[in-house]
Amino acid sequence: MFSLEGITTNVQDWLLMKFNPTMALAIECVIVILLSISLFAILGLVLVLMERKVAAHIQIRLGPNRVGPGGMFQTVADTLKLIMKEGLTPDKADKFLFNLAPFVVMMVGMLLLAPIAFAKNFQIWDINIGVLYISSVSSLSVIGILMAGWASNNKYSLLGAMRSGAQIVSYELSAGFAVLTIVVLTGSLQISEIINAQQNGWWIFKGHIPAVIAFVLYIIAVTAETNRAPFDLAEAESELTAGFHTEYSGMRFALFFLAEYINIFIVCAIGATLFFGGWMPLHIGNWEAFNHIMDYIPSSVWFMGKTFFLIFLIMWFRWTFPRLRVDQLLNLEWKYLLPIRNMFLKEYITDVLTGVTSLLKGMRKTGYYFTHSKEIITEQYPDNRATLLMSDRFKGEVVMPHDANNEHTCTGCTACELACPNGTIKVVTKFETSPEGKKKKAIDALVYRLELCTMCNLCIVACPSDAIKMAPNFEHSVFDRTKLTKVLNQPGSKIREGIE
Amino acid sequence: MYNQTEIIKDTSELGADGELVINMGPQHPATHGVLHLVVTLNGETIKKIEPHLGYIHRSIEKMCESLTYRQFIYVTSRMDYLSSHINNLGCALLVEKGMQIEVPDRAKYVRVILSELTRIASHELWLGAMAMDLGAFTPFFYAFREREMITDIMEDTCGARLTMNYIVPGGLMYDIHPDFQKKVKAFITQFKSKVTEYEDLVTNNVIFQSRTKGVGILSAEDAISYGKEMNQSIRIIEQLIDNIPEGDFVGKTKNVLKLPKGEFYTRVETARGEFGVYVVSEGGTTPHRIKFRSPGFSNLSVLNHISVGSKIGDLMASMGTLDLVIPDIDR
Amino acid sequence: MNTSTIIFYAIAALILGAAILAVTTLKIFRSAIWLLFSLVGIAALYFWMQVEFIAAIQIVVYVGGIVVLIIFSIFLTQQSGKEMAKPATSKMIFSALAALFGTGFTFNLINHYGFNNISAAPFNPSVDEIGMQMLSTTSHGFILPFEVVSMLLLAAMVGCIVIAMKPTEATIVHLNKKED
Repeated sequence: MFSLEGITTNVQDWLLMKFNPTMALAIECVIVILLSISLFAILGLVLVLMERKVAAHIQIRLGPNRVGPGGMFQTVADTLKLIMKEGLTPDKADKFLFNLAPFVVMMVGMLLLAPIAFAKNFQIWDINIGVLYISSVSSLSVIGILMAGWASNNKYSLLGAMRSGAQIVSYELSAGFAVLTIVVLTGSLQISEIINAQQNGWWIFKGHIPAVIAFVLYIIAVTAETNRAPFDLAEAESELTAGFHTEYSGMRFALFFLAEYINIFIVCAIGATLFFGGWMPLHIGNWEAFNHIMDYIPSSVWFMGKTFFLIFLIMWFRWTFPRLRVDQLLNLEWKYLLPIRNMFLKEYITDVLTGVTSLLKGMRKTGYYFTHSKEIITEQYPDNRATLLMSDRFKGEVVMPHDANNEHTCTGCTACELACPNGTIKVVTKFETSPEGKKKKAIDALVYRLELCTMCNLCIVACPSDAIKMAPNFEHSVFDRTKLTKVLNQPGSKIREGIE
Repeated sequence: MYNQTEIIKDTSELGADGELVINMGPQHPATHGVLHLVVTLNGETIKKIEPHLGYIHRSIEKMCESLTYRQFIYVTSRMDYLSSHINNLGCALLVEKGMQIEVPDRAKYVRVILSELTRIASHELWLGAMAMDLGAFTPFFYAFREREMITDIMEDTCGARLTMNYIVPGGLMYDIHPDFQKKVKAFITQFKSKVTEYEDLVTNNVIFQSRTKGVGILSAEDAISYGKEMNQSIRIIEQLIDNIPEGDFVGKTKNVLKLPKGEFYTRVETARGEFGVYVVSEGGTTPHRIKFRSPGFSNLSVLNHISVGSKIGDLMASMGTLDLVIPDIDR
Repeated sequence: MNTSTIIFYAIAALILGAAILAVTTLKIFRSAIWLLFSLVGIAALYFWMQVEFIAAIQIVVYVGGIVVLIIFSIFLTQQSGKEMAKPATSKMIFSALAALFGTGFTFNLINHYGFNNISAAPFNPSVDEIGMQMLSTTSHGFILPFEVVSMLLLAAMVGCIVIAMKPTEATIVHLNKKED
C-alpha cells in the first residue's frame, strides 16, 4: 500500500550514511525545493482544471473537454500559451517592483508550505510555533499585491491594491481568532501536536459549538484573504477590469494566477489540519472494526481528501454568490465576524440567520446542478454537425434554387435589387435572342455580396417569381473575403420555361 | 460638448483634492459594450460621472433618411438589439398610422406575443448580466437557458435570433411557424418552474439585496420588479396564445409606401422604456427627417444623478439596473 | 568559518544593504519596500537564532502591520510615484556624519559590554508559558508594559482619527458662529 510515512526518515538515513551532515542538509534542501516547486506546478494545473470543471458543472456546461481525455491537458496548454506570451511592462511603471511583485507573492506561498503536514511524518519543518508562523507569513502576501498595484502605474491596479490591503489586513483578524480557538483547545502552536490532539476525534466534532463557529469564521476569512469571490474586490472584474494584476501578462500573470490557487490550497490544508485532523483518519468512538478500516486508508489520502473538500467548498462559494461592496466587506468583518463572541443581540442573530439561509438556498441550487450532470445543455458544436437542428426558416444566406435541368426562375426584374436597403444584390442583365428571333431580357449574373447582407429578407419578399430564398447556412468564414461575393445563378443555367 | 484635449489633461494626473479620474471604458467589462464613462473618484466614492458618447455612433437616423418606409425598419433592430421586435413594431405602427393601413387581427395578436417574448428574453439577459456585474457568474447561464428557448421560437418563426425584421407595415412578413403555439406553451411551463431558481440565486440572496437596496433610485422592490414584469408578460402571452385568430397575416398595402406630408410620432414600450419614432415627411418614399427617442439614452442621463456619493461597486449595480444597451444610446 | 556563520553574514548583508537602499532611494514607495526587506532580514536573524516566536511576532507587527500602514499612507498621499528632489549637499553631509557618529557610538558600547557565552536553557516558546508571562503581575511579568502600550496605541489612534477627520458642514457653521 502506498504511503508517504517513513519515506522521509529513510531518505535522511541514506543521505547521512553517504555524506557529511552539512552536505546531507544541503541535498535535503535541494530535494525539498524541487519537491515544492513540482508540487506547485502540479497543484496549479490540477486546481485550475478543477475550478473550471466545477464552474462548468454548476453552470450547466461541460467545461474544457478538447485537450486530452476529458480536457485533462487544458491547463497544460494554457500554461504553454502563457509562457510563450510576451510579458509587457507598462512604460511608466516602476520596472523593478513591477517585476518583483509576482515573485514576492509566489515566495510567500512557498514559505507557507513549510509547516504543513502532508502525511504522517511527512512535513518539511515542524516548527514549534507552526500556527503563528503561518499567520505571520501569510500577512506578507499583501505586500506583493500592494507592490503590483502600485508599480503598474494604473489607476485600476492602485484601487485594487488598496482594496486588497484593507481587506487582507482586516480579515487576518478573524482568521487569527478562528485559529486561536483551536490553539486554545489544543494548548499548542505546533502543527504536529494539533494533529495528534485530534487522535480521538477531529476538533470540528469534539470542539462543539466554538469549533463549528470558528470553522465558519475561518472559511469566510480565508476566502477573503485569498481574494476569492464573493470577496474578490481586489480584482473585481466588472469594476476594476482585473484589479491589481491588470497590467500583467504572460508568465508574470501566470505567477499571480498560480499564487492564487496555491494560497487556496494552503489555507484549505491549514483548515483541514486545524479542524479536520490533518492526516488523521476518521475514528468513531468504540467502533473498533470501522476505525481499523479507516486506518487502512493512507494518511496522505486523508489529508488530500479533506483539503480538496475544503477547496471545493470555496469554489462552490465563488460560483454561487455575487460580490460584496467594499464597505459591506468591511462591515461584515468588523460588525458581524468579530463581535460573534460577545454580542448576542436579537437583531444580530436574525441578520445572520436570514443571511445564511438565503446563501444556503443559493448553494443548494448550484449544488443541485453540480450533482445532476443530465441538466447540462452544452452543444458539442462541430461534433454534432450531422444532428444539428437548424430551423428551415433560418436566414443565413440568399441562394437561388436550381432544378435538375439547371434552370432557375429569375427573370432579371431587379425587384430584389430595389428592395435591398444596402446594395447587397446587383442584377446584371443581358438580352437573349430566343429561337424565334425575339429579343428578351434575361439575367446574366445575380451578384450577391454576403459580407454586406443583413439578412433582412426584403429581397425574398419582393421577388415576384420566387427565384431566390434564404438558406439555413451559417458557416460563412473564409480567409479571402472576395469569396464572400457570390454569383447566385449557376454557370450555364437558364430560366425555366413559362416564367415571365 | 466636451473638449477632448481637456479630458486628456484631466485624466493624466490626480485631480485637485486627491480626486482620481478614471476613464471607465470604452473597453471595460462592466459597460456591456463600448460606453465611455469618465468617473471622478474620491477614494472609492464617486464624485462625478460624465458619459462620453459617440464611440459606436452609426448615424442610424441619417441612414434612415435614404431608406424607404419598408427598408428603414430593419435598421431599428440594430439599435436596441435586445428588443428588436418592439423597435420594429414602433416603426411599423408609425407607417400604418400615417397611411391608415388596416392590420389583420392575426397579425396584431402575433405582434403582441412576439413583443412580450422579446421583453422576457431581454429581461432574462438583464438578470444574468446584472448578476454578473455584481460578481455572480452562474445566474447568467441559468437565465440564458430559458432565453435560448425564446430565441429558438424566434428562429423558427422569424428566421433570426436577434435582429428579426419580421414585422412589416401592414402585418407580418410571413405567417407564424406551425409549431409556434406548442413551443411557446412549452416555454411558459419551463419558465414558471425555473423562476424560483432566480429568486434563490439572485433576488432573495442577501448579498444581492444589500448591493441593490438603497443604491441609486432603486429599492429592493424595484430590483425585483423586472421579475414581476416577466410574470406579467407571461400572463399576456398565456391569454393570447390559444386565441390567435385565423386569417391573413398581412394587410393590403400599396407596393410603394408614401407617407403623406406632415409629422408623425408613435411610441411603444420596449424592455427598457419608451421607444418613440418621430418622422417628418415631405410626401416622398423616404422620410425627410427621422428621430428616435431611445430609452437607453434617457436612462443613461440619470446615471450621474443616482451615482454621486455612492461607491464604485454601486455604479456597477446602477448601470446593471439601468440595463444599458450601448447601441441604443449611441445610434 | 562554518555554514552558520556564512548564513549570519548573508542575513546581515541583506539587512544593511536594504537599510542603506531605504534611505538613499529617491522613490518613497521603494524606500518602504527596502525597509520591509530590512525588517524581514531581522526576522530571518531571529529565526537563525532559533527564537521563532520573536521572529514571527517581528513579521506580524513590523512587516504585516507597520510597513503595510506606511505603504497605505504613501498610497493616500499625492504624487507618490514621482521621484523626490535630491537633498542638498549640506544635508547629505550632516546626515552622513550623524549616521557615522551613531555607528561609532553603538560599536563602542558593544565593544565595552563584551557579550559572554551563556549555556542557559533556550527560551521556551510554549503557548501557556507565553500567556502566563504576558499577563503575570510578578516581577518578570509583562502586564504593566502591555497595558501601558495599549493605552498609548489607543491614544495614538484617537489622535489619528481627529487629525484625519474632515470638518463637517455643521462644525464649520459652529466655528464660524463662534468667531462672530
